[in-house]
Amino acid sequence: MGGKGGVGKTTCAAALAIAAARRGRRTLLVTIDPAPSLGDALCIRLGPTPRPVPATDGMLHAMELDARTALEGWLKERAGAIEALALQGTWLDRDDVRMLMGLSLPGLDEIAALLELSRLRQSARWNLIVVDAAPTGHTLRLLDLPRTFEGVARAFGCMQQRHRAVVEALTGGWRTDAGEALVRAMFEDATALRTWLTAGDQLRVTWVTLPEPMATAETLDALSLLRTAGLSVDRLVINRALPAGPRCDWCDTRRALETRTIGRLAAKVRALPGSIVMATVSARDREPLGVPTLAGLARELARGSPTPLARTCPSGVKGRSPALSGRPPAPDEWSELQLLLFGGKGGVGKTTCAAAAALDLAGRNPQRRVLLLSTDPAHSLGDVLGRSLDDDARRLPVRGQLRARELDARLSFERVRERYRQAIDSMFDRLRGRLAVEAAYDRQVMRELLALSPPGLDELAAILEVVEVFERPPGERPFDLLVVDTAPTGHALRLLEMPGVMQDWAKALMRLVLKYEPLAGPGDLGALLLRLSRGLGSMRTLLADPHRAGFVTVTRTGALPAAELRRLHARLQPLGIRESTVILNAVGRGSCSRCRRLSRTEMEDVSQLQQWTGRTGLRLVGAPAELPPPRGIGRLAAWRGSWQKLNAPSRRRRSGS
Amino acid sequence: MIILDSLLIGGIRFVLDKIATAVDAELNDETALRDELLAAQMRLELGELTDGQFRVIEVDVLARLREVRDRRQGAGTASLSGDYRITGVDATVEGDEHS
Repeated sequence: MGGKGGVGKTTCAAALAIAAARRGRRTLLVTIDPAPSLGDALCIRLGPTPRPVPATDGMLHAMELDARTALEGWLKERAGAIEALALQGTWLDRDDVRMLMGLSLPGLDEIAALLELSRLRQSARWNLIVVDAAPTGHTLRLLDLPRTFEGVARAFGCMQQRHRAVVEALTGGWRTDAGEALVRAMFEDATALRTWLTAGDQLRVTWVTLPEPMATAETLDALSLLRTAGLSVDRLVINRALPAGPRCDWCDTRRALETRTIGRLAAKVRALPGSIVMATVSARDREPLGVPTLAGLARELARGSPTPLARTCPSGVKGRSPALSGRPPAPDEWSELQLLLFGGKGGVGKTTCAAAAALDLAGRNPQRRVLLLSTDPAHSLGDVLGRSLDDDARRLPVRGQLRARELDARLSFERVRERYRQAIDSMFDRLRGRLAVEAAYDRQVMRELLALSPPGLDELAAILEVVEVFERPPGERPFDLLVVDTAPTGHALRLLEMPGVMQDWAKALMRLVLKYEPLAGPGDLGALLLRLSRGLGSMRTLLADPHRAGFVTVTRTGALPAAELRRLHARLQPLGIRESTVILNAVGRGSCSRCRRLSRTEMEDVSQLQQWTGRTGLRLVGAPAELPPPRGIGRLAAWRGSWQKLNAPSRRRRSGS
Repeated sequence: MIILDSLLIGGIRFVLDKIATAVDAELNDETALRDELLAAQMRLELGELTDGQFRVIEVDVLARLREVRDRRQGAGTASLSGDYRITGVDATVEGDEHS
């Protein structure tokens, strides 16, 4: 089950799994989202091992697949063979190998998660596994994992060949050993993963989207990418379409926009090769939580709902809500910052809020040069601004100095990688010059390791390159304030946690370079690692400095976003990242009976959020809902002007108390 | 392993030649001094050196770098102060190796 963040993948996956279990399939429901909300949807506590889901007919288990645990398990089983391989196949000694194996391996955890999924698939206990995948950009990246895994296998293979060459030279013979078996098994696993992902009879993709232009644009991109990767998508769910109802400006506008969007999407999907079944599922007043409600959703998923016919479409409409009292939000303290991050669950409107805030900041501080940067691999910043963007910082025609850029992490990482490749080559060249040793296998091991692009590392490398600007004197920086639209929660958190992990790596590698320094000198590699470690250190200091960096969480009403908001807050604390503001996006509805009902539910959510932000001391800002959603510079700026204060009025102290 | 391989292949004479080249380079090569400074910066970053210890090394290396440069510039005018050249190494092994 794939799709953009916030489209209802988790609820649809849960509904599909419940329906399958009721039909008699022995079903396992797994979430691989690093910020899972499956437990919230099922209303049960889940963990890293399968647990039975109560109150379902048939057999249904559910679990949260924790990538880190999966990696630990994978490594534990192979630690001996890997250590032996590294000892025999490289110039590292036991202390070096132990030091490196003690570090966490960024990105490899996702591969381990996929292998674990593959292992579960082979278990006779279940005959159907329903996977709630991570948001789009990262789901697509999942398809690259077999290739990454093959890269690791190739690096290990080089170590193995080197060891074998030495043994054969000394003893004249060779007997297969654990290292060779490990390398062979890894190649086999990589091939099996690729076959599994792309053989249509074993894996099917259901793609979930919303009847909104941005979501459907991303869906069409994803469908074509999935097809290119060889995955078969057989079902497209258009979730949360507004059902028929009484006359209402808000609902009528929404229906009209949805009808138009669904019509365009259907025409494009029909033009694609193969057959994709489209099912429209109607919006609920409340999020479908718990097994009985999800079972109802499953029935609709199977047969689809008729798309209600739209009445004439008014030009645009704003949401109304008693929560929107018209008070301007307390002034933000963003204009003095260097780094402002916008984060939150997928689909809450991070990009829209980040773009609107950046426009406002640039307008209010014409002397400050602002760069608006999108780091989500599934970029939507260009769509939101209504301009075509790329990896170059493009000047926007606005008051103040604002540029926007959609970060191409792969491209940045490629540049970084090239620098390291040259440094490693020059190190081996020096070895050859000084010791007359051509360490061909070692050179190849280093090249293979460098050729790996563990997921997430490219993003970190790219961001680091951007943030390094703050190391320069103010006059030499290309911008003064960086506004970042991050990837959805799980991956943004990993990005924020990764500088620490990577700095450990940089330091470990520096220790190795220093240890072998008498042979080859620290050289360019030492200089690069030193720069990397210092850069990561500065980035961590920057992130943890409340006077220079701020974090804004964007959320919406509803139980799932609220739960994720609290989890995100808890995870940011240990990183020292200061969350200053919560933006509650898309507040307000129309005036029909359904809208009033929804508005009451919304008020309950607002009130809970007010209490929570009151306790945590965060600024709560409400961003009114608009139909069609604000797109383009002009509308974004106007919309930013309508943001309001949502914090509960502070209680006045009684005199004398 | 590289050291081991080269020892197996080249023997001790080979290594001594290399040491000679290394000492030669250390005396004359700016690169060696820059490497020394870089290594000290890395040790500082790793917390293996204090700021004070690093300063001492930095001052020393920079002074030697100046010397090398002065010598090179001087070499054009005075023939006596040319580059040093190490032509070989005499090694004598005495006593218990563990002492």
